[in-house]
Amino acid sequence: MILLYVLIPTAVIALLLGGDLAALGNVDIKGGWLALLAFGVQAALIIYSTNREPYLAVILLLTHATVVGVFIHNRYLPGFRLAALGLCLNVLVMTANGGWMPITPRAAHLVSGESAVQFAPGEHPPASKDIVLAREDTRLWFLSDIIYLGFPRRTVVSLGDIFLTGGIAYFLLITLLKHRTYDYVTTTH
Amino acid sequence: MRNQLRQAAIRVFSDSANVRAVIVLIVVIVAALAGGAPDAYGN
Repeated sequence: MILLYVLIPTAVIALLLGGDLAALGNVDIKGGWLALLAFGVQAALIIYSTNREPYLAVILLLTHATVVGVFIHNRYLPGFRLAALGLCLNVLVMTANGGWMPITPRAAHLVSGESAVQFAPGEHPPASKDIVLAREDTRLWFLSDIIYLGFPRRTVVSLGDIFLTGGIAYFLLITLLKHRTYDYVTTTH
Repeated sequence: MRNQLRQAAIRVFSDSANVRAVIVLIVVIVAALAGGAPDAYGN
């Protein structure tokens, strides 16, 4: 949902500046169906699997690699290089920690909300890609879910998440405003 | 009100450019969620 909290204001700003939502229809995302497939596999894996077998981590990493490939393949689109960089950082830290995104017990406790669940190291918070690991046991700790956001809701994100969200927001802003720039050019020349 | 919403939806989706725009938006958001963007699955 944090992604939507960023994208909705971005779209509103673009529209207020004269952007056009229909401009998105001119964008050709090559291999976009692969991203949809990767998401479907991830969702099924994370929501429906009750255990966390090692092969699931391999599948999770493969789906991430697929999405990285889609973003790199479409790198000519605005913001997609930044998004691809963010994705690569996420894949890097996940690969270094057994295929799951590490989160400290304290951070997991902070985002668990009212239930204030205590997670032990090695546990997987339900319905997430995370694994709870102490800071000293986390490889590439600075790339893991360490950035705490208290607004609009409590969550922790990674540096890769920030780059990814920023890249998508930039893509949306530039794409929606593109036709406005065109109108400006055609009316001033 | 319900009928007006329905008519508005039909107007939007009867234009193929708008349909393409919605599809592109969905693909981008889903790709970002699959890539590990915050809160993909409720965290």
